[in-house]
Amino acid sequence: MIASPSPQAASPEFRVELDRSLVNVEGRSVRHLVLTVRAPEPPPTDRPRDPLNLGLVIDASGSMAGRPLDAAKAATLALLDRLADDNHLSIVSFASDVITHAQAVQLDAAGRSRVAAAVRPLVPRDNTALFDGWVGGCQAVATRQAAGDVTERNHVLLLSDGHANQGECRPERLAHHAAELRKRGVLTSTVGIGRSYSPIQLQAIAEAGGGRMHDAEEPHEIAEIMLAELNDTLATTVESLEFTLRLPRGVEPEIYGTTPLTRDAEGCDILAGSLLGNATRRIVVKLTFPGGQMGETLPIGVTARWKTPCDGREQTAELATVTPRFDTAAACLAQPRCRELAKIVAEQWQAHIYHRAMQLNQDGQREAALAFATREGRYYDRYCFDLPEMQAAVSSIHAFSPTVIHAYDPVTAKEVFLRSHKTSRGEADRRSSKRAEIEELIRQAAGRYRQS
Amino acid sequence: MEAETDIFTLQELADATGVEPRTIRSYVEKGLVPGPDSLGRGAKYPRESLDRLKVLQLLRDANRGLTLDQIRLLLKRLGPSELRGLADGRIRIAAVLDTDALAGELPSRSAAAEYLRTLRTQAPAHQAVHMHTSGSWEDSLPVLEEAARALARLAGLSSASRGVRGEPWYRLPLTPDIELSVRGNFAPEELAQLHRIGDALRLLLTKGPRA
Repeated sequence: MIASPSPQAASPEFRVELDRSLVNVEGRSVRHLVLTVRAPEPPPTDRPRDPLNLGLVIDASGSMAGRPLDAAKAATLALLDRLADDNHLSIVSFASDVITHAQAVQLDAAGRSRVAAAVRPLVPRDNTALFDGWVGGCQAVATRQAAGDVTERNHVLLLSDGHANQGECRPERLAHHAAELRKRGVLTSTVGIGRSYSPIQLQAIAEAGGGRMHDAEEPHEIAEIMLAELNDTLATTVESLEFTLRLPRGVEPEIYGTTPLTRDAEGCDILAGSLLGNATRRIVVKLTFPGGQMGETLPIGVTARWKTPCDGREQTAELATVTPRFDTAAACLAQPRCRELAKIVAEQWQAHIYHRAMQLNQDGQREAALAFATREGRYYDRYCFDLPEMQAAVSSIHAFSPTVIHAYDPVTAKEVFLRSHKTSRGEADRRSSKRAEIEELIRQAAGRYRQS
Repeated sequence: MEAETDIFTLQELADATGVEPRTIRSYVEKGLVPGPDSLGRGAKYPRESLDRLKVLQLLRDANRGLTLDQIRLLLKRLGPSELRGLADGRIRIAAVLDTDALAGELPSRSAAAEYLRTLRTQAPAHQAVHMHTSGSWEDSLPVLEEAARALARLAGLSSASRGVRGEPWYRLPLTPDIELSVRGNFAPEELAQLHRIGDALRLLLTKGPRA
């Protein structure tokens, strides 16, 4: 089912589909709802871009000493050359304290010099007050937002190489504040620097903050990532995209991947976030159905809400209603399914298994990680039985499952976590250096743990 | 139909405005529309709920990119007669939106700054709780985990506290400023029970205790 909500050219295209439409009268049927959205074209590059009100928040804790901080400073100077004269830039650094080095400076010639002069002397200090630093950056952007041009895009880019260890550290609270600021028009993206940062905290902020999470393992990648993020921000054509599912009583939703899902008594809300122009995002929701009467239908309604970044306008579209129907177990088993849709489900499911198991593993819950990966692997195997193109994924999950009982080293864990996050969001990896495929990382880990 | 009475069921409100019951409930939770005076299926909403819903729809249709927070502020400024006039169509919605005094109240561009200001005022208390160095925190983890396991054993639970970190939070807004957060996976009947508790709390918070 395709819905284009308004005749305006700048509206996204949506598709709402179920992998199978019959559900078992006896209950416990699992079906997958696939929400696909394709963002409208970005504005032509020869047209003036919307002005940007950007806040750059740089981690200046002790662990950033040397190449990482030098690279972050160099990247900031490179960024200055790429921003337009009508853009405003704030620079905030944090350690155990927070320093605002530049407050919404307009980037004319004099402004660029001022910002450059403020960045060069930046030196490392001590702890990682990530929350306070991020709030400081948001404050600088919000102050400009309150007084500035209504067409400006208000965006914060947070760079950090570590775990927040001072101030608010809980991912769920960081996500809460990021979501509140997003609702008020200030979006946040994050860049994890080096090998030992906390992807869980940075993901929480970026995901709820309507931005993107990036990884810059090597110092030279910081500039590449920052410039790519700048391009992504300017190419965003859909912001704060949120779906609402109206679910019949007893239907239980669960999201595959990292997309935030909030339940209430009559359904759930799913925050898809920002989309670049022409980008396609797929969200897979696993639905577990209760039992019911033969022939009875269970209508599921879907609504989308989003903002257009150029004018901040909120838009709403009633997309479609899918209507699964109760039937016998035999009829359910015999019903055909769309292979293309099943493949999308399998890809998202695979990323979900990697991501969730690795999150549990890094959280110290290794037995839970093993139980989760083993159980999901078994179901995954059955789901993919007629998908030859997914058999490599099936083998990979079988190899992966027994390894999660071991404490993964942070570098491999971060890589698996990040790659599965990117896959589940359909986002490109902006790093220029080639990395091993996720399957190769798992093969290596399995080899190590067999020997140990 | 609506002219003959001053109290309405949720379904009557939905029929009169074309707004789904689920959406009306969320407007009540967000403080945009007055809630019912009683609990349960037969709960009755006052006339003001209908008027506010109608005006809310008009504000959304006006296509000014207003957020719900901004709409709440606008609704708060309207007196009963103005609200009724707008709902009846005797007053044009544009007249409200174009009032300079009212436009000055719109928090759109300063909402983030205000939110951060509030956050800052709360900062010292939570910083005192969470300020620690990486080393001391990691050193204390095994002790905390053992304590959590001991508590779980005493409580007859099969897993310790860290086990719940992977479980989802269920958030139930009670008023614009108060939210009930409960962690866990809930069966539909448990969710319904939770909502009944939420309804009772909301009623208590907005209408006060019954005599």
